[in-house]
Amino acid sequence: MKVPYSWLKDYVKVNIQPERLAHFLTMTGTTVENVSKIGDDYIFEFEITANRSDCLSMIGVARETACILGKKLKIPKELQGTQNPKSKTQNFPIGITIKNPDLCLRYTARIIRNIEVSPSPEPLKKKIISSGLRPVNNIVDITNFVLLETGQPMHAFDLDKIEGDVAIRKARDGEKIITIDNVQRALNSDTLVVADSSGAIAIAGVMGGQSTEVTGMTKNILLESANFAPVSVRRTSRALGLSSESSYRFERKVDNQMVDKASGRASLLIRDLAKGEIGAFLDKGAKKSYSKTISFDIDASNDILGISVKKSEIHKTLKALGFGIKEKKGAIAVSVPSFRKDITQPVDITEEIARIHGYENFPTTIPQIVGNTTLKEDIYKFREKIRNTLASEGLYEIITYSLIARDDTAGISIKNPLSIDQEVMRSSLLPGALKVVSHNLNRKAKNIPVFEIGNVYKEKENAFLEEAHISIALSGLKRDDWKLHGEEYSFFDLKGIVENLFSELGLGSVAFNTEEIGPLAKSASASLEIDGKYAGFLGEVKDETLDTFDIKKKVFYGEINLKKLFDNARKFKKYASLSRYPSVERDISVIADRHVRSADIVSVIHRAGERLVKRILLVDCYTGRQIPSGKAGLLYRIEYRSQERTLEDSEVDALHAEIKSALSGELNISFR
Amino acid sequence: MKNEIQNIKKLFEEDLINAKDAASLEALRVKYLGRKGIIAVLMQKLPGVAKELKPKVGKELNLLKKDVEGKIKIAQSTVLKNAPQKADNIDITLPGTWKDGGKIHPLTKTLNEVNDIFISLGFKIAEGPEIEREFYNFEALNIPLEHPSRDAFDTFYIKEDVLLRSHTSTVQIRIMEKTNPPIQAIMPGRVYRPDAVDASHSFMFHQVEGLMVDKGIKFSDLKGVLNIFAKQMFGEKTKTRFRPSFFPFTEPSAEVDVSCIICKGKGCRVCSHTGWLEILGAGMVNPKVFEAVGYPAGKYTGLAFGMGVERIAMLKYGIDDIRLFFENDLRFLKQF
Repeated sequence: MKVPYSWLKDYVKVNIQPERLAHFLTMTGTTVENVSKIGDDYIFEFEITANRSDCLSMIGVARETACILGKKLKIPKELQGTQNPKSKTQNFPIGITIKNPDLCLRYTARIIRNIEVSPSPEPLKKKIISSGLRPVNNIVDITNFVLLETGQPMHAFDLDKIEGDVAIRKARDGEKIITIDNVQRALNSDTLVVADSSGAIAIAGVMGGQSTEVTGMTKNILLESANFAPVSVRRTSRALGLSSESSYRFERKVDNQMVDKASGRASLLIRDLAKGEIGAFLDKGAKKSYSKTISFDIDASNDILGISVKKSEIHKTLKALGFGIKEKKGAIAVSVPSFRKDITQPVDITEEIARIHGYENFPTTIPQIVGNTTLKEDIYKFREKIRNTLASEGLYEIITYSLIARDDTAGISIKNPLSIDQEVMRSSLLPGALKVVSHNLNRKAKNIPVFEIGNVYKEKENAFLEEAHISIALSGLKRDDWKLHGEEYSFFDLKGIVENLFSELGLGSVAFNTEEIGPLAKSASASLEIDGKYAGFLGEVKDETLDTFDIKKKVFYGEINLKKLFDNARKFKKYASLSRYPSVERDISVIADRHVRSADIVSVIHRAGERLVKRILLVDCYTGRQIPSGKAGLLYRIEYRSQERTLEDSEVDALHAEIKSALSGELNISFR
Repeated sequence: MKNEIQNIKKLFEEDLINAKDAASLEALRVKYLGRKGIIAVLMQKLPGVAKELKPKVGKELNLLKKDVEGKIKIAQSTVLKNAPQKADNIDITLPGTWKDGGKIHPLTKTLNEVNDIFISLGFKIAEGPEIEREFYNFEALNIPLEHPSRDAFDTFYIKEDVLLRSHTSTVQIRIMEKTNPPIQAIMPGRVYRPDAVDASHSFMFHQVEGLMVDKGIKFSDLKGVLNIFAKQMFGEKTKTRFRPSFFPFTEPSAEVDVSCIICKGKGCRVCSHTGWLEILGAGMVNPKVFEAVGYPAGKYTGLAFGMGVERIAMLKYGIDDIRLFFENDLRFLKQF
């Protein structure tokens, strides 16, 4: 909201520089975004928080100013006390009915006759313009002036264009109105309208209609000053995509007590500036009292703040802000002014005291640490461990959006997406990872080793699940420098990283099984099992998938369910004692059918040599001219060791021979 | 045989004098001690020696072998010590060839820093779901349906009553529903708002929420806790400024500024020449929130605060475009 400094000074005597005033206002909660000098005036731009509708007015800002400067607030006479000018409700020329008293809380109408519509005098025009509005004519300008001054929205109808009686009612589905901005708007039964016998003549609290608009020809007017329910105005304003100075204030609640006073203020101005004759007045829905009392305990308030604000200061602050105070035994009774709809409980009053006292004047204290043990943070630490392990493997952590474009994997849809790129919640981290690979390849990156830890989202039997996954993607050259040229990543680099991670996390029995996984190429696709349960997959991403991301390089990708790792990880590792005796190494060079898997060979060796085999290392793997077709040559190094004694050659030789015979017997393996 | 040993001994001494560098010493070692070297050949002859002489000759042969081994070793170490290592052996300015380092994402790093500060103050980490019910995102936090205070929290919906949380304050409610005070927790997490993406807006970002509830928690404690945080996060000389503000779930509420970390408060482009940067929203927990989670009225007070991780990371590293965090360009990631 814009407030001209010159206008503000109509209500409060200010004797400090505008910039200083702006600072004081900001530091007490009426935030000034900007002060700019325009001509010989200064314009304050306020950012008024949603709770402070009272500050959407000159008087509201002036009240704050008066309070912090310790000055008196000067309010025009007709806005104080009882209704002014006095007039009777009899002989009101048209019938006015509130059909929905829950949506129209109060409705006043005043007849003013024989007006002369003309441009406003310059001082009024200037006030309107410097507040950011557009001058129209003296009648409209006066309603806007009173709106800006008091925060009470108003509307003037051309009385002679109103047909029959007026009702404040819900619109009929399909009912139409052309608003004063010359746009035809279709209404529905959620919209509250002011209607005459011909139909809607205003959208209540939002905007007037063109058919009854005040023009240069207008002689007699009906001046509306009302209080419409915030929710109704907000809903209508949103549905129509139409926000106005009026709707903005109604949404934030206006002062019920200002309705008739503001009408009086406007009427007198119209009498003075447009020669109008003030006529009949009608006030529907008014309550006897709008005040509210809160019992307030100063000690309790000071306890919350951590400071002792003096009773005299509290009294002074509250009075300046328009509150009433009655002392009772122990506590005080604070009556809340009708314009402060945000004050509903004692702590709201505490805030008033605190902000005017100045937050910067409060001490800083250190609370006693109250930490509690019921909150578990193991999973958080576990994630940190995974991050650190993968980063130390040379991988870069990425963070990608959890909303992605719709793809063939079933994801949870967003009802109101902003764009088709963020339509569904990801059910896998793969699309995000491939996007990153693609982005970096396009920027000439040669080596792309990345990982992510993030949630994936699934809907299951009407419940929404969030599961943390780990993804790893490798693409391009593993190393490319002046010593080692252009070695590309392979499946086994990915597998090695996963194995190292699992070893770091102390995971028990992990199995890699050949299994076709949707986005992976048949030739290199594996599922991952921990203690016999599926925990993820890894392999080479298939070409069709890469094509959709326009990737021309191989990508090796793995995705693992973090919870499954967490559940199976050994929290405490156990140390195995080191043998004092030397080990003996024997190589074994096997020629096996292609379908025989390395894991099978290793498990036969382990079983046959159980007593002394401590470690089996694959040293070489080759196919080629020396090897018959359909076969593969594998060279294993077996380490034999005893915990109790030095091994004899003969004993190792014998066991080695046993292993060989087991291999040839069980797996049809020959030796080189 | 005995003579042969003596001759070899002499021959070795001469060879040893001539061997002046590592290569010739290695050649010498092979010549005498290699598998087919002179001493090995002599050893093979041992079975042919007369039985009574065998022990003596064997002993001498062993002595010879040890002598040769020892002298070569000494000569080798002397050569090593004396031979100046030539400076042009390697060009140590050639780039190192170890694999790339790997890095943690700057957002994670920033989040970890924030977390660590609060952990050191006794806070525990807690998390809550991103897919939430309206109650947790709004009503329980005193943000009524169809109220203008909701304008600040535009929200993605999945279906009626189910949404993507627009702030991490939801987790406050989740914790308090299940836990009785004392509570001292921080709640990091992902949040979503339907904002069009540009250099300073993202539809997805990260927040850290903080909550401390017990008997007798005061507004001055809030100032104390956040002062410590600001100093540890941005430097010992950092000042904080508390301004009154409005959040439906706190009362009193404050916006917290820190003295600009770029210009140290003098005024610059980053702080719009104010000298201050707004980084936190905070306040005392509104009694209506305690009511929503079923705490007895008037028994507890609490402090709460929240901050955006992206904003802090951007300030800390001088990053000018929020999109960089989610683009994951390796040239960007390698810098942290």
